[in-house]
Amino acid sequence: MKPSQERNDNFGELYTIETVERITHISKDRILVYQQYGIITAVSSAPPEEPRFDDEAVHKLRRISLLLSEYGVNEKGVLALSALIDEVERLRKEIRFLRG
Amino acid sequence: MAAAFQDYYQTLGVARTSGADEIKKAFRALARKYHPDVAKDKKEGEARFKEINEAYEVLGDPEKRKKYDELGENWDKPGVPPSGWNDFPRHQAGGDSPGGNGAAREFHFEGTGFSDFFEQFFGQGGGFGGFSSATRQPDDDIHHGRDVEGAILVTLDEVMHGAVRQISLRSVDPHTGEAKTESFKVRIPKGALEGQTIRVPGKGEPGAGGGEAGHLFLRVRLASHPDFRALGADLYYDLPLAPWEAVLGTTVRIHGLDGDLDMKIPAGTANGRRLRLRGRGLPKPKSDERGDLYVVAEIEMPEKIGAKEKELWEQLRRESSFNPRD
Repeated sequence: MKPSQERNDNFGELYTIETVERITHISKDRILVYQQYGIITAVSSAPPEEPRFDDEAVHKLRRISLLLSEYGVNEKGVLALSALIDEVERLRKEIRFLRG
Repeated sequence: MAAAFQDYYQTLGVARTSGADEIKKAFRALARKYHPDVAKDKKEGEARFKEINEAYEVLGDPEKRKKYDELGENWDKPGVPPSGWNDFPRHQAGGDSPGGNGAAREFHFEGTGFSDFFEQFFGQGGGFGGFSSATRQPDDDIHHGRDVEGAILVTLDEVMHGAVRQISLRSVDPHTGEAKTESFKVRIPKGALEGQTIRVPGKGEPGAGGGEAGHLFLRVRLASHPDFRALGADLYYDLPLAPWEAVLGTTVRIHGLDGDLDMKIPAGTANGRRLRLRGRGLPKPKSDERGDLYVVAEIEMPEKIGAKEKELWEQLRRESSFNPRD
């Protein structure tokens, strides 16, 4: 783990799946499953077998951990909740734009 | 999540019974007056601009306003149970609390603007408990710290140029009552988008037994601007026009985020027409490109007209062949 920094100089950084595994404590296999289901998206895959993820993906994965381990949600529930959260976020952006 | 209770109605100079339009009008007038680019006293202007934005962020949102009106200074405290949930514990047991018996450390932001809806479920350790490791650790004494979630209010100018903001995070140990404030800097990248996530590593709750500290996740929320709205990297500017300006065409000066520009309005511009200026929007993330600026025509009618004006309108009615209901 990187030592605490004065600020988030990691911003914009893209992470390998190994790094994401370390940060989120979710196994690589599970991460790939979540990617397959569209819960998280790789920002780039160059080469294709080496996906790169951003902080948005890390955030989502850590929330998934919370849902699974602390809230007792099963994985189907996680899929549904993730889709709902994404939709809510999309609607919030739209409302904030329309509201001005 | 302001450190001290702020009377947002007082900040905007409106009554508690003011309607949404009145509040919006008051915000725009004040935001234009105290915008850092035009304020006479830059330092005061910046502080006031942030206060005004924070106030409008709450009063301009019907749901937040309702909460603020009902709960006052507790309106944005996570873990405040909804009405009717009488037996809902304020701090749900979180198995990873370093204290060991479940009560969670509270976090309070200062300087970021406001709380985020999902924070009450996923962050700050209040209400619903906190993050714990998804994979079991071989040693049960290892506890990874919880993540802390919140939102950060970012102005369009900060998106335009990037910024570094000072964040203060005050945490209160529920067992000892000890409060600790930590300040650090958060970089707002150029081209930050509404809803984007900023992760500040290791600034969540500390771990225990060798566990890692959690992270701070901040969701970017763009502060309302008196003149512009942002959708992705595109900007929208609602341009009021007099009816004769729309019919005959005109040139209008717009004060953009990066300088003034003269906008030619073609003759025959209908209400709602969008005129695009390429590359005059916000920076696109991780790119040298910019989005576009859309100028949206809003034809406004004069509320009062004099006798001579009325005569001219009557003449136009007689002589024009235009009928919108044909």
